[in-house]
Amino acid sequence: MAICSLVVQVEPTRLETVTQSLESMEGVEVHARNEQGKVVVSIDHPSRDYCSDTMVNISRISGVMSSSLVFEYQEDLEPGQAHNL
Amino acid sequence: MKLTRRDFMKNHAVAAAAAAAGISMPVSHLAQAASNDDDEEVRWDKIPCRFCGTGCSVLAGTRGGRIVATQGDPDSEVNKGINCIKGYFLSKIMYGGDRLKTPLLRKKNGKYDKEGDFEQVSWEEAFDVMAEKWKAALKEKGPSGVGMFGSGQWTIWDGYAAAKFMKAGLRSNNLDPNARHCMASAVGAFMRAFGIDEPMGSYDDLEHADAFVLWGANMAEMHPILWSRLVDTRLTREGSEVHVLSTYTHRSFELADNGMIFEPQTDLMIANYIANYIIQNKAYDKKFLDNHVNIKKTVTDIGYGLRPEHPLEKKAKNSGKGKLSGMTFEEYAEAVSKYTLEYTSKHSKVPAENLERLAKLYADPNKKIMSLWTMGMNQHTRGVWMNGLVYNIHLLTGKIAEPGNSPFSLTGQPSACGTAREVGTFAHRLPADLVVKSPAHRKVAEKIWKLPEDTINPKVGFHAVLMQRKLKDGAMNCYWQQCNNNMQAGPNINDEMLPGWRNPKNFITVSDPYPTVSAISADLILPTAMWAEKEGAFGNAERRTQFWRQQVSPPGNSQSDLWQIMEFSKRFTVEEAWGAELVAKMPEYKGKTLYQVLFKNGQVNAFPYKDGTVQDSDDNVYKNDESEHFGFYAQKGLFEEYRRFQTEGPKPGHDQAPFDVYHKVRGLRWPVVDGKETLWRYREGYDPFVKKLNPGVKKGEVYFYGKKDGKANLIFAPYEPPHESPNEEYDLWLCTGRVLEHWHTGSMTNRVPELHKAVPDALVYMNPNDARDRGLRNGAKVKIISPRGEITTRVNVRGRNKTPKGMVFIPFFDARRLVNKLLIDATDPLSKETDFKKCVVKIVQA
Repeated sequence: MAICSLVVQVEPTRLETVTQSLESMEGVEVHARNEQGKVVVSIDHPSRDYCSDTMVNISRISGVMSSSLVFEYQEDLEPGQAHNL
Repeated sequence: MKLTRRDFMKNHAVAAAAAAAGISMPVSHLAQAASNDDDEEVRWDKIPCRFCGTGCSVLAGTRGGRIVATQGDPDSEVNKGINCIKGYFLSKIMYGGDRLKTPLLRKKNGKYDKEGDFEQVSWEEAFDVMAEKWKAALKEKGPSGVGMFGSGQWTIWDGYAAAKFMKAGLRSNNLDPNARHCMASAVGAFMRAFGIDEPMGSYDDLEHADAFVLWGANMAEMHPILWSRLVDTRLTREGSEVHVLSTYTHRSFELADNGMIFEPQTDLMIANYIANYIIQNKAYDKKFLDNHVNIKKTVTDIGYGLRPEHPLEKKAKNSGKGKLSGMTFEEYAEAVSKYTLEYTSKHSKVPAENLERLAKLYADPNKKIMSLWTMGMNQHTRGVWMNGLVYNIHLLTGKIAEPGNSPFSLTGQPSACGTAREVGTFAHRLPADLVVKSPAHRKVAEKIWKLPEDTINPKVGFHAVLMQRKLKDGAMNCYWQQCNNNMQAGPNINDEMLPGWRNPKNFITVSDPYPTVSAISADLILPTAMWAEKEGAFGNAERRTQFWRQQVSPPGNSQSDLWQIMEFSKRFTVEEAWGAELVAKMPEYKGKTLYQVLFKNGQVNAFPYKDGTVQDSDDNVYKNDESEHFGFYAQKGLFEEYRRFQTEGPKPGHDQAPFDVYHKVRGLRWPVVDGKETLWRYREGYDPFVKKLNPGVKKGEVYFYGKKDGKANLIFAPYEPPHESPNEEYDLWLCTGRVLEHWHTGSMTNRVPELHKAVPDALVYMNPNDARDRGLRNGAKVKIISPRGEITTRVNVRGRNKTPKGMVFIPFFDARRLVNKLLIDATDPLSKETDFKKCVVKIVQA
């Protein structure tokens, strides 16, 4: 289980379309936004990989100027699960 | 209603994000998040981020001896509750499956053998062999026979203990940090212009400035949190604008009102053109210049920091020289008059209207300007000059040392400032901006460290690149690298680095948590505790010192760098390290070990430690492995001794707060006087040292007290050509650097599966026309060949970095493709910092 939240800074004129893109992503919820283009987003998904991919994908949405992680929580990570080069 | 852990965490996550964004949420949401906090067994504590020089504070949630959650610290003035995407993975970097847990020594038939394979050994055996080698090298070559290569990722006390061990203990100035590769040019320019290192302003300038100019910094990817503050100002302040200068297009250009791609090295022309424009249009502040500035010029034709026998060095008239001489304003005006708009536009290939817009911005008396830069300007064979040319613009217009008017050198490592620069872990430095070549400075150090007179070696040691040359030449035989991966990050690996490490005369030790390229190239690997596994302190780019407590225990037999240095010092008697003559000056030290003289000296061991000494405000008790082992509060003793350099030395204005204060606050920006931090230096009303050192000063006036006469140096330097330029055979420029997902050589971020998956390979970013001319499609496998070596990777013509025709970019995080094999070990001759941003290559289908 992985949960995280982000503040996404969107170009204010493109708030609508970016919000739609965000909401179309699995596990992503838009909780609040303001007219300066700040959007509060959570990602909730059983897969860590999915959450991190999604974060990267959010930062690549056209109209997103910056995305900042605020909170992350992950359960079930056992030692050694991480990548071994 | 009892929330499940998942609901709870999600509520918490959303509430925290809303708070960070400044958006109000329904109260019930927040109340639920708070009311269930006690049900969780997660312990929260502050810790600065492990990665770049921004110095974000993170709340680490620990349960069952592991960090399971992180949150942007809402009480941090730096990041105000947010993290960048790397923050997501911050705690995961400790949990790579290949963490080293025991010392490893190359052995054959049960004995150390340079050609042997790595075998597990005890710390005892590791240090036995290492001490034997170090003593032999000291005996044969003296103090110059050994060296240590440290880090801008060291904690303040790691660096301080290393400086003391090398400079006082072994009397060797062969101590340099990897910060030499990233910040040395910035340091050189600060010392030349202002006499004190580090920026005069602070991150608060990001909210005070009207306009921002990025000179060789991709903040959107490399300093995302500072970038988000800059974006906020750009979007909310009327008339705010952003100008971005670079040799290729990167993500910061998306916000640019004026984006400029220049031909490598012509930034020297652009800065001089702006000065010329300001003078021609009489936009300079004459009063400021008269009262606060000395105009100087630097000697020219200074070479490229290559080996002395290199033809370019032989040809240079003033190889390595930095002497300054005075010039009048008229002479200065004449010197920059060559850099006209037409001339500069022609050579830089930046359209004239873009250049003029930038010059007009700086000349506008009503615009407050923050100039920001990082490696594009520092990793430059004229890095010190170039840093200085930007200060020139700010000095000409008086736009400096006040809110919003701020030339700001950013840093790339979490404690490049706090450790490498402030503690002075460079080959020429001592703590608090003191230098080894000054007898007065050495005297101060000898007094504070309770050493016999003349213990400290006056000879400047080997800098980062020189150390590698000396290893190759067999002139330095023992080398200890901590907290960095130089075999991947240093230049010209095959010609100038690996031969020295594998030279049979040499013994190489690498302390690292992971089997990096460096570690596997060494003879002895020491497993190291990572940042959250020890008590630590970092200093960020705005002079902010931040502390943290040991959150978790290191795995296996790993030990911190501090423990390793202090423990290794027990292996030397003063007689072995200093010789009988020096010991005779202080007979009470006879027969003692360096550990006793350096660390059990009545100062470092002045603070007792027992279980429970380290607690937070909620009475949670934290471990402190080093203090438990040595029997005193080592970090506190080291820091308090270090602080004396700030007040007892001849260089004022470096004061930090007492140790205990920092565990309670989210960092403080030095100088800290009477508990108050300093946001802008050199201006009365903001900086307490101005009045102290110049009692007659009026409110709001500037006094550059780092220089004896209170004046800063404006230093003219001309354009000089780069060390090499594309030619018929090698027809492309190569630039290296980072990408968002990875930090430096990837030794930590590559262990995070998600980051590795996101960007697994270093690609070559290339202009589509250059690819087409060579018959290469996007994704084609290619060889990149320089006069020094070659690597193989795939082409990317549509990536986030868009290079102009004639230039390619390859990041350096990928251990399987060592791009630094291609680089030339040319440095700024003054700062000795390598130019990682330009060398020549050719590309062919693989």
